[in-house]
Amino acid sequence: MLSKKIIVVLLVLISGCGLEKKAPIKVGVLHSLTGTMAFSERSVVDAVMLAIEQINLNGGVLGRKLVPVVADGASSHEQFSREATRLIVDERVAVIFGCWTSSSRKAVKPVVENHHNLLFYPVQYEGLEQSPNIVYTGATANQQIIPSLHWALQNIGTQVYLLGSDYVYPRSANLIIKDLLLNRQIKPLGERYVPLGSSDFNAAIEDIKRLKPSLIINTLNGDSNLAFFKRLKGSSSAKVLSYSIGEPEVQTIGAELMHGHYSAWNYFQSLPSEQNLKFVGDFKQKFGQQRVINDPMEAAYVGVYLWAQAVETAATPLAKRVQSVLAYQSYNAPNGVVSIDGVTQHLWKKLRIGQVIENGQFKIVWQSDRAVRPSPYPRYYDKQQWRARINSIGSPL
Amino acid sequence: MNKLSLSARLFVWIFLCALIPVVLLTVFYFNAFKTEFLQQQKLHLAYQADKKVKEVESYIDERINDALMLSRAQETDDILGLLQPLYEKNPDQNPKYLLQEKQLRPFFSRFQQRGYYDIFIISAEGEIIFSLEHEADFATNIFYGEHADSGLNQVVVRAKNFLQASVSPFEYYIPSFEAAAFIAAPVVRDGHLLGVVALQINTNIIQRMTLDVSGSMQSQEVVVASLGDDVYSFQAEVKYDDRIIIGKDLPLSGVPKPLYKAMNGERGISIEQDYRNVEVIAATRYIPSMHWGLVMKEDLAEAMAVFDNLLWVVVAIVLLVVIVVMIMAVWLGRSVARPLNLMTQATQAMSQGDMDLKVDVHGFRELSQLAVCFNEMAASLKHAQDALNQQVDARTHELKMEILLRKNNEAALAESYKDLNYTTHNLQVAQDQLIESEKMASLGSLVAGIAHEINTPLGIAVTSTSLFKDSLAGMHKSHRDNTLTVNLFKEGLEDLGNILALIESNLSRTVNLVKNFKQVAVDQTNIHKSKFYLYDLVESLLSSLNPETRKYPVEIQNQVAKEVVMDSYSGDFYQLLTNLILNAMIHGFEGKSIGVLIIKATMLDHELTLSVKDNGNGIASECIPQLFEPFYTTKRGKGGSGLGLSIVHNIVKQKLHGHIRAESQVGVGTEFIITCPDSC
Repeated sequence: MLSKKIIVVLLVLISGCGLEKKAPIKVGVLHSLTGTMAFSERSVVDAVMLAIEQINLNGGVLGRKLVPVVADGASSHEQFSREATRLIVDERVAVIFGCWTSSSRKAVKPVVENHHNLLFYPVQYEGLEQSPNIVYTGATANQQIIPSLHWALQNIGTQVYLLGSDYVYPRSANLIIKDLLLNRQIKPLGERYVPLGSSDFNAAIEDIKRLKPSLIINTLNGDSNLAFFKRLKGSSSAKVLSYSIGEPEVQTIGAELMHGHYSAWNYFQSLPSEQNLKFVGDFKQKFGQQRVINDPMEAAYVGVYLWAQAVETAATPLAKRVQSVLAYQSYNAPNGVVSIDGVTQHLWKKLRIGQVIENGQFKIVWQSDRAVRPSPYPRYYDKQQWRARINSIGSPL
Repeated sequence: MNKLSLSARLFVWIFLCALIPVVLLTVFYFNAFKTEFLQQQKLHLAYQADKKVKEVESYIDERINDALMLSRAQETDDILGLLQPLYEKNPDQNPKYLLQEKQLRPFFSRFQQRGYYDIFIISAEGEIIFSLEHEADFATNIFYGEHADSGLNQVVVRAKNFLQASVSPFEYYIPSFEAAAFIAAPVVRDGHLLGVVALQINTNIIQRMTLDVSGSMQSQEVVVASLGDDVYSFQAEVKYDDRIIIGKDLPLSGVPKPLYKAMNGERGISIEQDYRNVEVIAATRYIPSMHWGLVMKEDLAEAMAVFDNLLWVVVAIVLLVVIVVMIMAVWLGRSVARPLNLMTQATQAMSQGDMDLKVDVHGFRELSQLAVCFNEMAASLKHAQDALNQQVDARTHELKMEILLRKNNEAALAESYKDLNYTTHNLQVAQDQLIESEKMASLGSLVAGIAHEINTPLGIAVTSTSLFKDSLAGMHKSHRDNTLTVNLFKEGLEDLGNILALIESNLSRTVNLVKNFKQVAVDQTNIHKSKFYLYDLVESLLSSLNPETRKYPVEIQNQVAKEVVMDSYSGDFYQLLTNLILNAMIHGFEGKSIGVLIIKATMLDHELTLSVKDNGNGIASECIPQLFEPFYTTKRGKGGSGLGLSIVHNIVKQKLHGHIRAESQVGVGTEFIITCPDSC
């Protein structure tokens, strides 16, 4: 019957209308797969892949599957810049999940700003930066350093020694730390910077032996940590509060070397929440039971979900439109409820302090009662003042 | 389906082909529209929820900015610089303090106009050294005073330790006897914390903003709540429940689902049951600065009201369409069916005999064509019928005449038949009489013959008796005369012997004759079937007929096969043979001086073939057909009754169930051939 055929055709047409929009969405994953940062960044790539796989299994974003385009920053900020450009211009990705070091982030920042794209940056950093094209899912200094320092001063000791790798993060961080110490009329016993990746700690260990601090604030990054903790053992009874040591680093350095020392993060693998238990379970199932998960991995994982949510809100993956709906996107993350701050585009996150225990995991010794407001420019100085201060420390990129 | 009327069929087909697809399509599109409409409502609500979140955050931001601004104000410096030194126990009883305070107050009072319940300045040690409202919290230490577990303490601690401006959630604040939230900012000069400024806001201020929902939805509402450990508390008044106390902890087990989602940072929009157990569209959001879950909701029923109205309209229209289509189908069906029905009726009437019919030719082309043709057909049928009727009438009339004629003929025939029957009956009687007469006559002649025959030997016997008597007398005489010699006596005995022999032979001849005749007579009158040798029968017949047949110069030969046995009426055979023989004598050998008559018979397969053949005069061929007819004779007036052969024929046919035929040639002879079964 003709009219019945017409109905069939109409139905097909109608359902066909929906199909044309089902093309997949490309997303960029830009991390160091080679070079000195590869050890840390490869794990972050895994977390991003897990998030993408889970989202695809649930039907994708706007009904479209996500296709990750992985690029290697090769631990070089020039390479990061080149690859970011390639991803946006050639591969036409809708977003980039990437970067670890501040130098790589600062190299990618102008690329995403010029091309009106988005970067989701998962690593805790010194703050003092803001961009409408970057969502910072790691902690800023005020979220990590300030509260943890306060706790450490209360609970560990006030004889403070500052040790860090020589680049912008440790230097900016120590700037803030010193503000706080000053505020309490505490002067740090010493402050030393070693070149990034160096294993020569003779001078530092001498300082420590001589100055006898009770609290060492550690802003070393990368392989240096391994050398330092080896040297530290037996040289001092000071407790170390580190800002760059997570579960993978403890695994590499060794739990007996790290035992009893502290790290401050928003996320620890040992968090007991339902969300985290599922996250850890899923990750281990995909990548292996022996793997561990740290804060940047969780922050990257959360970043993917936040971006997906924003795309659903904007009803398009177009970066400009997604930007406009980023503010106050909230998500029940493994580390707790997080929300993208509308003003700074950083995440509201809780802070926790963990102490290393025998099995290499962290025991939570303190956590903030609620999510801490991100202030990349701590409000006790205004932005101009901060910029001036940063310039004055002459940080190498 | 074939039993359905046209209207019904039309209706069914229209229903199936047009209505059902249309209705299905309508339903399909309507559902699609409903989904789309709901989606729009959801999006609208989501958008409004996002707006509300931004509103609240901006508001809080502004409040924090206010606090920061205050923290940097010269007037704050003044307070900390000028008033703090004068601050000691019970400052409101200290006139110096009060005086200084009075001077510094105006700025802060003006600032208060921005919507603050109270403004505090707190020293680095935690002393609330300045307050506009001078409530119970004034001049206490916030770190360890009686109000140390308040929100004010939280924000002051954060300001002091983290150099961070923050806001606390709404909690019941004892000094103000109502729920209050606090914003504090550190006062930092050259990196040193001098003190903390704090602002107190009450729920009115914030509620004015959180609960302000514009838009046409009456049921739209914003609900905000804060999550604790296994507890939650509403942070603003709730539209449909007066009993809710702001800031009061409630057990988490009873939390409405959307609110729980919101407090857990789950951003979404869904259809849920709210705290009234009414179905609502709920958008869930998280407000980080207040650590609030926010639910913006509206009743699903109200949201879909427009759609529901539309639904009724569409349903009404669809029903209307269905009804109209139904009516049209019925009307269309009827308009086609009615003329057809009329035609059917006309046909029926025609078959009943009413030929004078016309149907209406109005209607659509095919129908009017049909009607026209129908009428033509009816007319020609009528015409034909009339013609036929005429023919029939004519024929009927003819037939009637015929019948009448025939009837008359029949009547006449019946009469004739009656006459004929009567005549035939008479004839039959006459024939029977004649036959009887003939029989009597033949019997008579037979008796005459027999008498004649017997007479002779009897005569001789009688004569012989006389001779005997004479001879005997002579002998007596002689004896008496004694002239009897032995030779005379011997002669005399011989004479007597001879004469006696003669008497004896003639008497026995007579006896034989009588026996024969008796046999014939017995046989002739014998109506019983019996078995007999035909040869013997013929012999005895010939013997009995001898007196008659020796008158003619004909030699009769009995050539009947000796083994032929008949199980039949011997009398009949006597009779017929007698007639045939006598006939042959009388007619066949008339004027002849010598002749032979042979009687032959053979039996084959129980069928007798009897032939009586003579070489007499023969019979003319034209006479043969009539030969066996009764009274046919050529000797009428000469003593022939013409019944002889007829009798023979009757006997052969009726009694013996056989056939007789005559074959003859004039001048050569005649043969009568009789065939019949051996047992009849």
